[in-house]
Amino acid sequence: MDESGLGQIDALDESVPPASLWREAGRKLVRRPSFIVAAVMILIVVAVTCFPGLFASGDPNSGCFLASRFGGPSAGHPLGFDQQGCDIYTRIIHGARPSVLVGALTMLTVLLLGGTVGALAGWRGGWLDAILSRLGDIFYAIPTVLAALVFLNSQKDRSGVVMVVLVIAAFAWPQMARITRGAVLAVKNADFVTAARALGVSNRRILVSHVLPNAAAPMIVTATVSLGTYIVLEATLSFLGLGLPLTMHSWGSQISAAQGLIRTHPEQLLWPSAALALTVLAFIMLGDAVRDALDPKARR
Amino acid sequence: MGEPLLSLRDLEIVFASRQATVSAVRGVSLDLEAGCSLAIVGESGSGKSTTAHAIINLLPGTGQVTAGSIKFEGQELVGASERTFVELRGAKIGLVPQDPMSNLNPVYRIGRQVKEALRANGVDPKRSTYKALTELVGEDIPDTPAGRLYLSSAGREALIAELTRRGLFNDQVGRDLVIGFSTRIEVQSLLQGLGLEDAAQLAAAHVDGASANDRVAGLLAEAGLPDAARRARQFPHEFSGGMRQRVLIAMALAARPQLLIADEPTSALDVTVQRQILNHLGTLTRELGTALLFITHDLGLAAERAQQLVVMYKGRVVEAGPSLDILTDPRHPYTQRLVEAAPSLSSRRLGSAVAPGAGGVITVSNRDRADHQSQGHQSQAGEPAADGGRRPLLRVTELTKVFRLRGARPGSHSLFTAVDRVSFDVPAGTTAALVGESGSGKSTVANLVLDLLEPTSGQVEFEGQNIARRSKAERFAFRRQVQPVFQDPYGSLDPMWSIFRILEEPLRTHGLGDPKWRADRVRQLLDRVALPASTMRRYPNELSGGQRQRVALARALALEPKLVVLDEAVSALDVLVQAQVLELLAELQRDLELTYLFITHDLAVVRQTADRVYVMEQGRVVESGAVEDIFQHPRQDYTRRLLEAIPGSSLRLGEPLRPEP
Repeated sequence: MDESGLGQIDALDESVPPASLWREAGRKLVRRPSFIVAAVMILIVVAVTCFPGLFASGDPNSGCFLASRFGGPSAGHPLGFDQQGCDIYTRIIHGARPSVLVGALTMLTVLLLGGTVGALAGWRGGWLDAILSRLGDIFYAIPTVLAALVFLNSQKDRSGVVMVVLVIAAFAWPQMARITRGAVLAVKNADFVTAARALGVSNRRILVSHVLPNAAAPMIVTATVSLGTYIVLEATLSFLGLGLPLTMHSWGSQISAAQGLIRTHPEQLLWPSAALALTVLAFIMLGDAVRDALDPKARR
Repeated sequence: MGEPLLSLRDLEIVFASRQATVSAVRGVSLDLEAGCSLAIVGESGSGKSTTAHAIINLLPGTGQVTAGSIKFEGQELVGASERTFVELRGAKIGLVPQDPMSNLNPVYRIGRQVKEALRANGVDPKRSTYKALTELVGEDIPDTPAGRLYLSSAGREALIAELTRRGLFNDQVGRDLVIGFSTRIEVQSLLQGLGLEDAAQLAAAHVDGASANDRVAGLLAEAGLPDAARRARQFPHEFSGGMRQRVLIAMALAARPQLLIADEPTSALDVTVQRQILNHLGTLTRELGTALLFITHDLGLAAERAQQLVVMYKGRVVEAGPSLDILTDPRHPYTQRLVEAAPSLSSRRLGSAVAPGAGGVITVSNRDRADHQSQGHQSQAGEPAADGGRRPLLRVTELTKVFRLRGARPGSHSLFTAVDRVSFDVPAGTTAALVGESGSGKSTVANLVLDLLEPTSGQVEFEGQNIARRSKAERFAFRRQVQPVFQDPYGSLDPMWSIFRILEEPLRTHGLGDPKWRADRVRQLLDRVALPASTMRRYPNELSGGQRQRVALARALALEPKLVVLDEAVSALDVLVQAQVLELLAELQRDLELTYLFITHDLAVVRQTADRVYVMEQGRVVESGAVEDIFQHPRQDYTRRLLEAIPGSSLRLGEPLRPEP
């Protein structure tokens, strides 16, 4: 029997833990240096977002003295002061929250909206697919910044976080819908789906418990990578004076305030830009690492 | 015969990954003489392809030859420079790849790709150096393979004009003069056959070397593609799989290599096409005197196509020798099992309900079964006519399925009849097989029987009830009675689900038992298909193909169905695993009184499993009957072609073998 090889064919390695896709992906992730770097950076950013008080003692809006205008770094003020005499470090720490909040909320909205539309289009097919896909194409064709400019300008009050999130999500969902639709289409005709149908499993159950989990990997990757771009988009809108209210001190508005000082005080521009760039970089690196870990081709 | 053309000695190949090194090939030695053929047989992972790829230094990824030697024409290839290999590949060693679908570049025309094979190997169809040499010497050097001159299109025109003038031209002559293919010698003998005295002069005048384009057309004609010149201007997607493989063979032989490596050249093709391609490959290599190294997993195929066999298992050569010797007298236990398991060589019906017609023997298992079922049918042996009195479990009448295909213009469509008035009965406890090539509609029938598709007309009756005319609850109940098993063990289990969830799903869907009962049932099911209970915590990607297929079978059995539809359920498995699964199926049929509808293209497997066979061609059942009848007396040409396509069918095992002359 052993000579014939059937013994080995039947052998099952009992020593290793069962390898679910997520567990294996997790194992692959922790072995990647780029993931570790990205994860540490994101942890810091998240901590700063949730508890800015732990990192900076002052309030970004009070404690500004024109006397210390453009003052250099000093004890307790590692990055110096801006043109209003406010502490730059405190402002950057407090600027993390609106940026990350907008990014994360937009991602969730897009996942929900684009994911639902894409899953429906891919699963149902036919005329529903045609209508939803063309609708997505229409939104895709509109330049986001331009549309946001027009829309946010027409608002009477300065918009809040919810408004910015909704505007960005309204133009970003088609990408997620396309990815989801493609992934659902790929899984839809798999034999295990047919087998489930032959078992009498209802259509909705199949979609929720078989198709979507298998389509989740590309959706998660897209969501992680685009989180960075949503943060940039928020910064862009705030830079143009259309995003978050100035009192929220998002990095975008800080960059906007510093733009005129690029010749005289370039460091004023540098600090918020660096914070923005590093955060975005971390999310994009994370997305890349997750993509590699979830690559279905690496798995058999 | 002196030194062999190719000689491997103690070859060791290792794949190194970051964690570990895996030995793929361990101490392989083999010899191949010029002009001979040798087949390496083994299952996937046995190292057969790795060995072949090492010869032309095309090991994938991290593969590396760590020890041993590869000698080609006496030249050591282990450690040779990439330059040496570039010179060898194509020019001296040709390769026919496995998958014709992905090995032609879809953006270039066929002709251009064949021409590239000529140009890359420095083949000069015009033979300008050769002609310069003959002029220098002042006389014609004998027509050697190296100095072959082919008929050009201009030369053919001129020759035809000349022949027409003499009133000797006819259609047959026209057909025999093939651009880029007919050589000067051939034309000369053709003209001599017409009774021309100046044949040699005429041939010398008109056959003076083809242009590259003409030679490409000639190569395609040689590959058996009619209307070669037009074909050369087409793109790969306009070719069928068999035609593409012909093109790849033409490319591999374009530079007239001494050795041709064919790596599972027909595994991706339909059965009847397989046979054509193998015949073609055999004829060409024989005519050109090319040595053939043939890689396959099919022992029957190997024995039929090659003089020598090398059986590999887990990277080692377990047995080597002349094909017929190995088939009739396998020494190594692995080879013995392989010979036993090869469906193409076996004619034994695995024990089940109805014994094959021939002889009418009641097998032991059959008698067991007769005891099981006290009432009803006593006379199971003999012809299935005995079942006539019983109501069949499944009855398919005049079943038709028409698909609407989207046309070129929006809104337009054409109709495609995938299944055309198919009728058959399957008595309870027996196996019926639907056989046909891909596109014959057999899988559509399976989906109709499974109630996954709506028939256009006709009906499927299960236990006497039309499955189309039922309430939702009845439909749901029907699902418990009829279950499928699919071909691809990698696609039929949800990769995100643990084996336990996969096996519990049918039970939960139908609201059977409490969680504890279901866990017990899952354990039972795994036991039923001979898998350890610990398998249930695993995920499909941790299991081998055979194990997965057994899990799929366990899932199908979870609801204790009466009918199991096996849609190519063993086609994707290695021979030994296939035999194992087939045994298991027979055993389950015996114990659980299952009825099988077997959908397959593989008649060899049918012979082992089925009681009745229905041969399908283009949506119709063209022939049906008891297995032995079909195998002994096929009435339709199509069935005969399918039978011939079984590799090894020309080898009569069990009869005394006479070595071929």
